[in-house]
Amino acid sequence: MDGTGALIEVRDLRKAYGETEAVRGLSFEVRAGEVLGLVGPNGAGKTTTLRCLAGILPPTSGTIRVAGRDLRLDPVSAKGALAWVPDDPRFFENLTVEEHLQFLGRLYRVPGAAERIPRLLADFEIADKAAELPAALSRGMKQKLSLACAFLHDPRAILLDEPLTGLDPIAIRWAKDAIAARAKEGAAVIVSSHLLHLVEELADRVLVILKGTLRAVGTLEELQAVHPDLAAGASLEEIFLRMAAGDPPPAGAPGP
Amino acid sequence: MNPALLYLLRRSLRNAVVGRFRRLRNPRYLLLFAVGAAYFGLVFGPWGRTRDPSDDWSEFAEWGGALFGMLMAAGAWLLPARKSPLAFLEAEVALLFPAPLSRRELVSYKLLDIQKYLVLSGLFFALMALFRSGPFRAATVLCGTWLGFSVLTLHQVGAHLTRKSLLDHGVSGWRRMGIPLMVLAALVSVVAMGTPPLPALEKEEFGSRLRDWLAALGESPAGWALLPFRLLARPMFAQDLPSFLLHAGTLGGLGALLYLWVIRTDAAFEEAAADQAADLARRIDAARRGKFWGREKGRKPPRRNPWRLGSAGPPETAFLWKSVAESLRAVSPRLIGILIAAGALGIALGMKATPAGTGAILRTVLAAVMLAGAGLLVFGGPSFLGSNLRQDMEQVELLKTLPVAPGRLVRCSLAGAVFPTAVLQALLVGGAAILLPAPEKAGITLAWRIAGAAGLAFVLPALAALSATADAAGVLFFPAWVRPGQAPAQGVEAMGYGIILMIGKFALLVFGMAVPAAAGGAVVLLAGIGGPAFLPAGAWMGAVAAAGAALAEVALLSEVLGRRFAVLDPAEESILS
Repeated sequence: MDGTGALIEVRDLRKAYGETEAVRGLSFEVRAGEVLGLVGPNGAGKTTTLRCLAGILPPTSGTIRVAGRDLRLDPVSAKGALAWVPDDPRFFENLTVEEHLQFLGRLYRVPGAAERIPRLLADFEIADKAAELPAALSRGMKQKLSLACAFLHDPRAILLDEPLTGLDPIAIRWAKDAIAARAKEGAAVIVSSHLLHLVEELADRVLVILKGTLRAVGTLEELQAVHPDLAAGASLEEIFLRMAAGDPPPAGAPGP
Repeated sequence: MNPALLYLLRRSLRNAVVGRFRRLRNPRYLLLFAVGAAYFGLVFGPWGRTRDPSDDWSEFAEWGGALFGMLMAAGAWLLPARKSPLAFLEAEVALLFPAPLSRRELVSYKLLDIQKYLVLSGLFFALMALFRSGPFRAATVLCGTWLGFSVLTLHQVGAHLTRKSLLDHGVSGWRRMGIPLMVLAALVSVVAMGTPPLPALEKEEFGSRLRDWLAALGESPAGWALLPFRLLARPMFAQDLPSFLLHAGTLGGLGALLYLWVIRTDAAFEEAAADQAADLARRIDAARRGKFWGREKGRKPPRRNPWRLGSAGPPETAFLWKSVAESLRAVSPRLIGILIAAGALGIALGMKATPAGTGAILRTVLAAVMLAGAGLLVFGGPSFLGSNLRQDMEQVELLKTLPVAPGRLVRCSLAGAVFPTAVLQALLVGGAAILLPAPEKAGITLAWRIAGAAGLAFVLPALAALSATADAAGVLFFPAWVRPGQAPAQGVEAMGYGIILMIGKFALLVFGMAVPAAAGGAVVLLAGIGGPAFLPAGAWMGAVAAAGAALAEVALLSEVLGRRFAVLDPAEESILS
């Protein structure tokens, strides 16, 4: 990748918790309109990576640039261009659904937020819950609200941590369409998920992270090429299981 | 201040207040509110007998505030809490940390958010002052309390961030404590050397002499050294508008300096805040799912279990085992070691000293303290030692699926709650019996001593079981008041709950002991027929009979509580905020 049009650029990202290094020198880029699937076993460092990219956790070292802005040196501008959807959406207990969007509209200085919010609520099929507090929402509704909050300011970089977990099939289809539509509109999207068939369906490229280290990154075809012994057209699940089992990457495996 | 953050604070506060009033539509909470309001009115309100302390004691309050402030300030540097005073919620981490907000805006937002709790504290004191001294005093008390607590909070936050910043820059351990220790040592030295000698305080002129001494202290070098701390309480106790404005202005200036210090520190608080928010979120989640008490996970490494639990035997033993294991994990081995060493030292000192000298007094005092501790454990032991129903409810879903009848389940939990208390009570009573001076000095024969200790070792745990039953009733009938996370339930309804629980506990102990007392008394009377020599043994048997009767009552009550547990809907009852 030559870096042209990269909206998310990560260089040698490291994050340590005391003696434990959760992320070890991760480097990759995500271009405009691209969906990058982030996969790895539990404890591999996916959420830590995403939380560093979202500006929640300060990295121990390394550089993160969002829409060309350094997240450490110019955090306010960089954060203005990104959106974060956590695996377990959290909301302010005492703000209604609509008030959440109004609050974020003001926080991100979204022009025409007053007109945009009802449309967004309708698009996300939560208009009838506008006056409800988050406690009254189901898991699926919360996920929709979380996505609505994330999409309100037309972010150029979107980070989603397990966005489809706990959703029913209809909501999963709906969420996938919403994410794909945002990418189509030019956003760079990173989706972390254990639902590998969905990642396979959604992502243009996949980054496999094991023990905080980048194991492989590339399109499904490129990852398939890493393990030629697998049957032709091997699924992401088969490739991932082979990688997670500890098979060393052959020479010439796709890297960042 | 960012307007969006102001919007967030304003709307959240409004919705929270509306929500609280809406909750009063539920008769149970309306009753709690009524009880709490009545208590407040009777004790602090227009019908109460308490006086505005500022009438006579403003000078003392200033020094009391100074002492409190100094301890808090020293504690923030030398004994800091693990948790940050800037406690962010998970929603704040998820929505504000990735938002285009500067670090300064985030800190300022959180500081402003904390103010609502400080204003609430001020309102409590202001209401008391309103009924006693009128609206002016109420206003000065409200503003003064808020200002004093705000300044203290700013200092706590500043100290926490500065310590964190030093750590971020590689300064840790004693090097980090060096400057605070030197400042404290200098302050203590000035106070020690600059304090005027305390006059003889006789009963007749106690107040006036103490006042004179405090006035002299205020003008001494010690008084000047403590001036920043003395400022804390001055606005609250100002007697007129000019002095209030003067003191509030001075304290406000100090607060402004502290605010500048706080927002200029460069500590990376995000990581700790995110971890803390995740801990809190886990607890709140547990409560939402009906698991009322979600404790922190993964903080302490697991320790060896107390004994190997076999698969055979009654379920009560499993709860006892769990309770002992949790009790042992809740306290550090160092604390256990210190307590054992202190107890052994006390007993050794008491035993070594001669009965004729101070040893007898020391032994009597120690024995009395141990007995008082054993008695107090009746009320607090089951709540603080071991695992009680409140904690067991964390696993309410699991409890409801166990193949154990609900009444028995409650009994199991009560047994688990009382067992560690009973062990400690027995140790304390035994220690007291050993420590009491020799029979000829104490006037208590060896037979009576053994009988009394053995009897108490039965009766006190039985009373603790009754007390635990009242706690369990509170948990099962008012589960929403078992607050998860950092703060217990607050407000007038919480006060009402506390009063109802306290009354319930006392009533249960008083009325519940009627039958056991009669049973125990009957046994003692029967023993008395045999002559005075049989009385000590009779007293012990009476205590055992009384304890047995009390435990039978607990068994009966646990059946009632079991029925309540069977119909409890955790999701419906777990009302927060």
